[in-house]
Amino acid sequence: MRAPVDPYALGWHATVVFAALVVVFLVAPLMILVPMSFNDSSLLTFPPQRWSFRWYERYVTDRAWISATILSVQAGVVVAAVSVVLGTLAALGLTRGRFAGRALLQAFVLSPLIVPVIVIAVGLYYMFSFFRLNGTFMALVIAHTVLTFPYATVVITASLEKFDVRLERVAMSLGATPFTALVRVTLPIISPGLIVAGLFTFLISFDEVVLAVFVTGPQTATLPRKMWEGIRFEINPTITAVSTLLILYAGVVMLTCEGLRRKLASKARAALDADEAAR
Amino acid sequence: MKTRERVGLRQLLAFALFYGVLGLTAWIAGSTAASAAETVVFAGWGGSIQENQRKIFFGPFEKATGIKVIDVPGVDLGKIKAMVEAKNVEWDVTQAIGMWVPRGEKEGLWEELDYKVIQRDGVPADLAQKYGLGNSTYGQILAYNTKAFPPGKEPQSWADFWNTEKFPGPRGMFDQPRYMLEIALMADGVAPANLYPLDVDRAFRKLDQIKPKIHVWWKQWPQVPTLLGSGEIVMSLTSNTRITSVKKTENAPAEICWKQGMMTVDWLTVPKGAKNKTNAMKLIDFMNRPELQAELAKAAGIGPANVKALDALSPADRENMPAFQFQKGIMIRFGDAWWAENLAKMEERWNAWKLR
Amino acid sequence: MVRRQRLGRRYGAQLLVLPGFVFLIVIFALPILLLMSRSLFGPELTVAHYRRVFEVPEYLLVLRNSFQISALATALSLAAGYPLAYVLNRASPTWRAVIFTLVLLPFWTNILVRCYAWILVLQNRGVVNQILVDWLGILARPVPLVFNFTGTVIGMVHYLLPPTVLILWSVMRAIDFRLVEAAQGLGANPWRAFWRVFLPLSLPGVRGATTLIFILGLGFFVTPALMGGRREITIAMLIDTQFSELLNWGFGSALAVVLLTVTLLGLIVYYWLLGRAGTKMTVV
Repeated sequence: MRAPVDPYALGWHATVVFAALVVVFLVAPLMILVPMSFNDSSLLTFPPQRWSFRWYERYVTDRAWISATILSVQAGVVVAAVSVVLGTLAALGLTRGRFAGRALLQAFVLSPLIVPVIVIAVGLYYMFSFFRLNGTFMALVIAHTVLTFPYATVVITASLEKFDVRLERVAMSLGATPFTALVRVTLPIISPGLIVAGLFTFLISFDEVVLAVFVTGPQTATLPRKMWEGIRFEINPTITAVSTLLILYAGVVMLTCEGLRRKLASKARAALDADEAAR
Repeated sequence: MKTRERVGLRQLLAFALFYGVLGLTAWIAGSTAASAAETVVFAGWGGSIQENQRKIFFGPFEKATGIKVIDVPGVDLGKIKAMVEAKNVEWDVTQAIGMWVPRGEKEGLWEELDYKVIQRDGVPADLAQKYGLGNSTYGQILAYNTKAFPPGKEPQSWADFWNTEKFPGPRGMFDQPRYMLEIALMADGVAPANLYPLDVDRAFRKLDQIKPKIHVWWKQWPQVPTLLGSGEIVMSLTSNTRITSVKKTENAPAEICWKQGMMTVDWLTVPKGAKNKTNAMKLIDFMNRPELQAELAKAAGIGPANVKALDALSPADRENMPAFQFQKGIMIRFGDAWWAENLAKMEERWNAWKLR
Repeated sequence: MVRRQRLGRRYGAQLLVLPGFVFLIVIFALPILLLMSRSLFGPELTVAHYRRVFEVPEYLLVLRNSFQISALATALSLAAGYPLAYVLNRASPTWRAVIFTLVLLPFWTNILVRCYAWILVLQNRGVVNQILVDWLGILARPVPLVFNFTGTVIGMVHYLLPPTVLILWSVMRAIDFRLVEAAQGLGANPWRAFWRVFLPLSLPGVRGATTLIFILGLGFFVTPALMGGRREITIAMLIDTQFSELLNWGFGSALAVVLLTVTLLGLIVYYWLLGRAGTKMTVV
């Protein structure tokens, strides 16, 4: 006799299939990009009729593209660092304190997300001109941080709210200063939130176009800006090669991080086991 | 037992120091100005156009005068306005589309051109203006897919664009009122010479007829060759250079109908408060040389503004030049002045019309 | 020593927020306020810009359309993102890394490139229609999937999904799954345990994610422009045109102010309703 079908297992499998379809949806256009990057034609037609590496050659041999990529990565990293620091501070203040106007402050912290980017861009342009910062790396970082700081705050707030404050109090009752308790108890526990915030803000900065077009100069051209320019007046298929390379890079980076994480985790586990065995 | 969080004064000082250092670094980074030899900054369209300009204009200019040309892509009127108002003008020579010149003039964005330095002979009178010098000409023409309309069956006027029985297939339309109002009037029978001032109501009535038949309301110019080439659309307005280049390099099945096309002009302007004004004038004068404009025409299919340049071209090349087709009377001049006056109102009306 | 403690205790939290607050005031609030003040000048002090926003019916229509399309995209992102975040949450570490990478992959691609790739997939001569019409012969004529409302929604959801999944996942992560197991131990079936335990615990995060994603959706101007048809005009597109092409910074600012105000009012109403329903009023 056949075993009865478990409807709940079925439900779970259906959910997994649905999730897989969503992932396919997310990845579908990227799958188009990869063959397109080998398309010899300078028109974006699919499927490609002739194949070549010429767009990769173009990318690798053009100094402007390479330096734009490097700059975007540098800016992204700095923006992520600053945003996470500012965001952690703000999140701590907003979740712990009980002061008047807290809700208003929360709304204010989120407000850059509501204002159209072009308005922020023009406003910032004025400010930077006043301080003669236009076209500098600092200007780019500041401009992007305005956008990413609210995101970091939101993500870290979410982690902090689920964090059990009593752990911190216990640490303090054992003699730690508030700062030490923060650094050695709270931050490690909410570190997934911090990492998500950091990754998120890096990607937002890496992908950002409007602000980049406005506040950067010839020495500080970012990759999105170069792609935007490469597509506004004529479609330069080098962008498909760049995109494919970025996708490859992203995949490698993320899977390496996962590999590292596993190694660290297993090392920690091994240390604990050794510790236990030694007792 | 303490029930609230507290922050020690020491930690506070640490934060303050951190931000102080950050601010100081920003200040220092911002104030290190790059001192340079004689330079001039050119802001243009980027891409292959600017690559050609570098080969034909900027390189030789640097050799001839010793002034270094820094050319940047992404010229943008909004950014020019921001620069001029902030009194921090980064660009010395800017490539401007026709409408930007009178618009910029109204907002006080341009310097007067120095025609003592710029030699204007060869340039038609209305292309050498107070605030801008015409530098290249483009043709906004009807382009069609040759697979859908083989020779003998091709469309020959804007009325044919409207005629979906005789010339079936999905249409593409530029999602802006400019050019569209003109082609609607021409399709409705208005003689090209009598277009301006535009009879807007009549144009919109004619546009109502074609509204449901438009498949792609394209926003970005580079979309058209791709859409036409693949057959996603079979007819659309576009600029002649895009079709010529895509025919040459990709053998794409697309062709140009010059009749009833509109010639537009790209200008060279100098933003008000430009840092290298004298060098800017010199560069503009250099870019006006007929032999160089002829080279650009041969390399990129971009029409010269200087009519003397036409003489330096072969008859075959000349056929592809908007200025030549304009001389022959097949194309008309696009009315920049009318549009500079009416663009905002037309944009509003266009959006309202689209939404209905 | 006592004095210092009291100072720290009273103002500790505020001081933490101070750096971010000051940063935003100087870098963001001041320039934006200055720019917005231009909405009142044209060039002399006037409300003409605001009058135009309310008198010409199209602007409010576009505003309403923008809200509607953003709401739809948010709802769809939520519907697609919640199950995915749940699976991500329950997956083994290996699978989690793989799914995580795949979900974030679109982020590494420029928005313009994404749009053009989608157009290649969805257009009449695109991949989907080629498969349906030419290869499999299921349909006689291509399905219009892009250059219309459908295309715009697809493009927007595609952009909004990764952040949705990320935020939902980080919220779900904090939910103690032992509570769900406890419910099952007490006799609830898996569905009941999910519906009555997990889902309610995740709701505050869902609300926060919805807010954020909805606000993101209001700012779209590239996707509707490239993948939409003639009716897909968003308020962000209009504002962008006013600023970049028409140089009407006064009117553009007025539009931006109206957008901001309506959004803020909407958020206040949203959170007031939530407060009435008895839930915690926090950002996330």
